[in-house]
Amino acid sequence: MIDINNDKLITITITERLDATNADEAREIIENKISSIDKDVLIDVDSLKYISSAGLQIILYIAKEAKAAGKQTFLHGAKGEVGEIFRLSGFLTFLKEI
Amino acid sequence: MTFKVDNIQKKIVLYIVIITIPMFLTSLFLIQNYVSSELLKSEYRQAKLININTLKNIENFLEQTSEFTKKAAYMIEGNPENYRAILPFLKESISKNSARFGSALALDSLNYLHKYYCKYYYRNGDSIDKKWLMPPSYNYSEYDWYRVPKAKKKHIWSEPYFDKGGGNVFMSTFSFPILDRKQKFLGVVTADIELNTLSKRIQQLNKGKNGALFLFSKKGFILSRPDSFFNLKKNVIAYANSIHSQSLIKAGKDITKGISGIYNIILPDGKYTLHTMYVSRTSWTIGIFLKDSVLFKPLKNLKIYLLIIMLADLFLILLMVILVSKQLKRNVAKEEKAKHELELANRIQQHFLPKINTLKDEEFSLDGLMIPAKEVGGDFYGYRRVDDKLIFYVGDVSGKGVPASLFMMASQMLMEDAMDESCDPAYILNRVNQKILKISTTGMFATMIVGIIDLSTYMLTYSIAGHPPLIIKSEGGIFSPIPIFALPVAAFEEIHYQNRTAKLTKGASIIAFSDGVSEAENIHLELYNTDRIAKVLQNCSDDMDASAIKDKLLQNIRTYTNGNEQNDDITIVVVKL
Repeated sequence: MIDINNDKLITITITERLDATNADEAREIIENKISSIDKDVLIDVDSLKYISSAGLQIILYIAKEAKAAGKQTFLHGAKGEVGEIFRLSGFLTFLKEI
Repeated sequence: MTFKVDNIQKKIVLYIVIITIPMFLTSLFLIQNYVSSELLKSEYRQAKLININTLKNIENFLEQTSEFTKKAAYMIEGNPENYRAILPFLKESISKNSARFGSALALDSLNYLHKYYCKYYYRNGDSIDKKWLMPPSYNYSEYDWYRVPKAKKKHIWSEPYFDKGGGNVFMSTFSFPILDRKQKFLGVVTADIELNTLSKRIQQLNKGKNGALFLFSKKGFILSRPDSFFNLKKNVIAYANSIHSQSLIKAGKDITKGISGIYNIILPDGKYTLHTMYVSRTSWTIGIFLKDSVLFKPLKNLKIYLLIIMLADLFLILLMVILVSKQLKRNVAKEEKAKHELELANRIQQHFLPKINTLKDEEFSLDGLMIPAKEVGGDFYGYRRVDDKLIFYVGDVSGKGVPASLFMMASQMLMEDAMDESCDPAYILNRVNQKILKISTTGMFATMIVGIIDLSTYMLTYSIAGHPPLIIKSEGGIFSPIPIFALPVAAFEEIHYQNRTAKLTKGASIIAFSDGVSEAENIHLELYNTDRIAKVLQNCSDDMDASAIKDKLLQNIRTYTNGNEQNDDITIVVVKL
């Protein structure tokens, strides 16, 4: 569901599904693993198959935290249905795709 | 629901009882069988041991009391002329052994002396007296103790008798025949034992042990019994007849036939097991009566303990069932309450949605619908007619459940507030965004689409906040007007929503929906998709009003999901011009 790699970027890899059933758990993982955002954040959704509004809430949370810390949030791998959701929801207006 | 729990409790109790009691009875039965067979086996061993010991003792005793007669007989056989020579030996033999009561030398009047001769020595207090036992007062030749050994030329123990005119006591007599070299019968040498002595001696053997020891004569008379008294008037068969005990009658008959055995006997004071053993030397029978209630007392105690354990067990299980079901009842009540509260919340939420979901006019029709996935939803919609303008909107709060529903109600109220100020979609969204961010920092957001149709010009103006776009059918063509990619309401403060316009014609249909429609899943988790909404709209004839279009769309979604659980709220607003 979610994996975090703290290297040059803080890479958050989200796989399979991110919806209301696991959003709280994902949020907990993020809160526990990322103590402070000292680097730019990359959200990798290359293997994500579905994201619901509860999932988008998590993305927004990350982006807001990063913004508050003066860092940027990047998105990677948004395509197909997931890409469509990111696009329609307007999330691509503040997430830079790389 | 409480009724159901009571039912479950009763069922559990019933099952426990149904399962436990037969199991207990079965184990009790098995234990009883096993223990009683073990007890019987041990009783048989015990009875056999007593009988064998008694038998050995009696045989020893009889042997010791009678052995001297054999010696005396041999002495006469060696020297028939001098039969008187053994008289001192007889007297001495009696005085030497207190168990010996008397001894007689009886000689045959036909084959030997040609006259009667019977000299008898017997115990009289501390001294040994002697007397003649002669016809006519005492015709010894007719007594069993003389007749039988004469006829059989074999030694015997006589049936007990009262020796009237002789020893004048109840006795049994051992007779050893005197035979010459040609096996001619010359007479007998006898040894008497008093029955009293025999009886006492036998009872001493069994002192302090279980059971009642009896000695029966060949005819079934009682030679010894636990009170130490013999009773030659009491015959075991006669007694058995008097108490109608078939098993004792059988035992009595076997005694007279010299057959040993084990008998279950019911006497007036209870059930007994009788073990008999035939004493071949005398044709008597030893019998030991063991009382069943004494034998089975350990079993009875065991049964009582088992019953107590089982009842305690059952009681504890039932107590546990009651405690658990009480807890269950409380939980069910809690759930019930929570469910009830959610139902209440659902009703309140419904009040925030339009009270009448359809609006119809000569110029247009509108139909809206929100089906929450759970008790309460995060979707909302609304419409308003202001002069010749029709405003409609659909919103979708991120997440689900109670938090989403609370956020939904706030969003809806702010929407209605903003609509009071202006009919401009972008303005409305900007207003809502600013106001909601002042209150909420939860991270929740709401996607929204707001449309306004000028009914005089058919000009559509719309604004989108992260929401799926409208689907429009106008002049036979299906299209989504140019999408606006903007963040949902309550995401960031500095967003400025934009308006777009589209020119429609009379007869156009517009569908606004939440992602619960396009992302409705079938059983294979495949999404319904916007394309299917478009296809449904394409297939709608021009004479269908908004309600008909909505119904057709809903029907199509239901067919697609085919009963798969709805996991997001479904909201549809259809406008038909």
